[in-house]
Parts: sequence; C-alpha cells; structure tokens
Amino acid sequence: MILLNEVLLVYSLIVTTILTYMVVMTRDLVRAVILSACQSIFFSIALYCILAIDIVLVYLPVAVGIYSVVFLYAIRKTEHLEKPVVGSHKVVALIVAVGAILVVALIVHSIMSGLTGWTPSKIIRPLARFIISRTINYYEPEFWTSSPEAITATVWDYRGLDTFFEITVFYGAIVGCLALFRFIEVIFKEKLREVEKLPKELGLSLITKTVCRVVFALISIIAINIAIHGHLTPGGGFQGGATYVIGPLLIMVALSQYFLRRIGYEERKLILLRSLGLIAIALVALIPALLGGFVFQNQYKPWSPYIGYPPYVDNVWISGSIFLFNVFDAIAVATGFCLIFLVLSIPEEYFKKLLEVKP
Amino acid sequence: MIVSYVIWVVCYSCLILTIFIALYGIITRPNLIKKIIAYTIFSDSINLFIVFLGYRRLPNAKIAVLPLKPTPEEIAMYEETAVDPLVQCLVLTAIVIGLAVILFFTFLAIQLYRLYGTLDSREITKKSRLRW
Repeated sequence: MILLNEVLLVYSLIVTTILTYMVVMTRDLVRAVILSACQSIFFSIALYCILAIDIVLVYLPVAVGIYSVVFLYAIRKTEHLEKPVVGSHKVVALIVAVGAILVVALIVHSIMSGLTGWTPSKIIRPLARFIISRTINYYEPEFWTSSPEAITATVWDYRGLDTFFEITVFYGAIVGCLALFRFIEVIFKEKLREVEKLPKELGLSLITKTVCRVVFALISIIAINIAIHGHLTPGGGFQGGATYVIGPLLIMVALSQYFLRRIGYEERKLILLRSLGLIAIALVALIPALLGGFVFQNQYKPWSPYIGYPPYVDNVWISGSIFLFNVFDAIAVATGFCLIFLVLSIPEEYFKKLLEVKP
Repeated sequence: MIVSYVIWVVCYSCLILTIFIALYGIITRPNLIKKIIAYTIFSDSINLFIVFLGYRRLPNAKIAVLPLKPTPEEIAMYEETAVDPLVQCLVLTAIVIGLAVILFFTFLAIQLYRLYGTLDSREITKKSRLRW
C-alpha cells in the first residue's frame, strides 16, 4: 500500500536535508536565513502530509515569517559574513563523517525495528483515544470539553495548566528581551519628534505601499478568523496571534517603523494591551476556582459544584472557556510580538549612543 | 510492502541526518547567529520526529477535528481513524517555548555584538576574561 502523502513526505524530507546542509555550509548569513526559510516551508509540507494541520498553522508564521525577520534584523545590526573556519585534518573529518553515518544507520534501524513502538502504526495510544472519544461526546458528558477540535481542547482544557506555564515562559522571554533594550526611549523620543515633522513619503514606491495595505487587511482578517474559530477548526489563539504579526511586519518593512508608530502601534499601548490579555487569561482560569470548582475548569463536572462555562451563547457555539482563552491569547501574543519588532527596528546608532561604545 | 518500508527508511534517514547536520552546525560554526539558525533547524526536526509518533498509516486517516454534533457511530469512526491529538498539542507547546528561547538568544547575541564588536565565538572567548 503506497499512500500519496507519504511520497510527498519523502520528497520534502530529502529537499529539507539538502537545504539544511546548504544552510550550515554557506558563509553568507543572509543567504543562510533565506535557505532556512525555504527549509521551513518544506518542513511545513511534511507536517501537512502527516496530518498535523494545527502545527502547520503555528509553524509557518513562526519559522518562515518571525524567525526570518528577527534574524535579518539581527544580521543588519551585526555582521553579514561569517569568518572562515579552520578545517580539521582530512582523515579526522572522514572518520567523523563515517561515524556519524553509522550512528544514523543504527538509529534508523532501531526505529524501524520498534524503538518508538513502530511509529507509522494503525493504532494510537489509549490517552489519545480517550481524548478523541470524549472531547464532544453528548452521551458521556462527564469528561467532555464541548469543543470538536481535539487539539485545542487538549491545549486549553485537558492540559490547561501546561499551556499556562508555556505562556509564562513566553512572557518571561519577552520581558527579558525588553530588559536588554531598556532606557532606549529616552534617546529615541527626540528622533520620533523629528520624524513627525517630515513629509509622509517615507518608505518604498506607491505600488508597494498600496499592495501592502491590501495584504495587511487580508492577513488581519485571516488571523482573526484563525483565532476566533480555533475551537471549531484547526487553529487557535497562538496561531492567530502569530499570523497577525506578519501584517505589522510588512508595514514596517514597506512603509517604515515610523508609519507603524503613527498609526497607533506604540510601546506603552502594546504593553498595556498585552498585560490586559494575560490578566484576562488568568481571570478566566481562576473564576471557576473562586466559585467552588477547580482551576481551568471548563464544563460542568459531577464532582464539582461550579456549573461551568456555557457551551453556546444564543446559538453561537463558543465551547465554554476555550473561545475566551483563544481570543485573549491571540491579543497577548500579537501585542508581544509587535513589541519585540518595534524594539528591534530601532536603529543601532541610538544603542551605541546609550552604551557609549565606539563603532 | 517493500516500497512502503523503503519510503519510511528514507524518511527517517533524512530526518535523523537533518538533526545531525544541524548539530554539526551548532558545534562547528563560529558565528552566533549561524549557531542560532542551526539550532532552530535542530529543534524543528526533533519536533517533526515527535509528530511522527502520532501519525496513523491509514488511507482514510483524519485530523482530530470532529463534527459539531457527532453520533456515537461517528465518534467510534474517528476513534479508529483520527491521528493522535496529544502529540500535536505537546509539539505546539514546544514550538512556542522554542520561539521564546530563540528570541531571547537573538537579543543576547545583538547585545554581545554591542559589547565585543564581533559575533565570532572564538574572538569573544579571547576578548572576555572567561578562559576555558
């Protein structure tokens, strides 16, 4: 039995391996970033072939959009070319290469003979069966989440606490990034005041700007759609937030960051929105506990006095707390990323002034 | 049967080879941004490897999204054909945390460049007081 998706899977994995080799070997960093983005596209095709649509939706904006732009900004702020590596002796290199190939062969052989439980199997594990059979089961509702999307249901209901800690890590990382770029507003404010007096023709040509405006609207609509339908179709809060950021990024590249600041994307506003989103997530998680249930309780449980969030409101299916979590998570993620990119786009000369480092 | 076996051997060989090439890049490349790029590929291939654990080799395999009002027969059908949602959920978390860590790495690399004027890890070791 040959499945068509597996043929595509093999093709994309072979291309991925070649592209990875090129990424590692090239000395031009910009080229490495572009090749790595291509490699990510082929990884997404591979993920699509093994039916991981939710992961494709989060992986594409993250690996192709956000990683690439962050690395390109980092390269612009630092250096373009990697310094040459002193090669090791040819015999040593050969021994290492042969050893690596042997190890790869050994690992593949052990996987094919059942190390991971014969992976392309026809059955799944009992816990996964439990989740699929209970997530929207009207007949045994004591474990149901009222969301037909088993993955989002797992993220926000069965493993809600896990996702909460994930958000905490993300929050901590953004706070750390902002802490490295602190005090920059003091110097950068003067420049912003100067820019406000300039004519509005900053950025690329008229065609690019118009296309960017249209694409920005479309990306925003798709992102909101992914976020608010996360409990019904593949997608969710993080996917929606990460997709939304591509819009402001486009504006930043095509029309300059000053334009983005002028239309209302400012640090203080974004920090406020992001904190509000996080507080809302915490409240939605804690309200059941305050009313006698447990933290992250979604639907009614026979052993808990809390009545649960309603599965639908006025004929609109919202799956209880999952819809709320998705919306607030999308806001927190989108504003967090916008914040990162606004800070990254500040020219390096101001930081040098701040640090008093000679260029 | 033999063809499908060969397909999966090639799949796993490519994936494990990608992991090893990325690891080689992390270890041997001197530039820190290049190390981080190799690290993204390394973590992504391991995530893909984990998603493989939840794949079902069926011609009618489905993603784990049920209809809104399923009958007991439909639920039983999805139980027999849907792919593993738990693995995908774990990888989703792993991607988000990986993204957070890589953003922080990149910002640290930029800060290192401001302080040392280079991103070459050998020169940074030479310039810093840290000696191995």
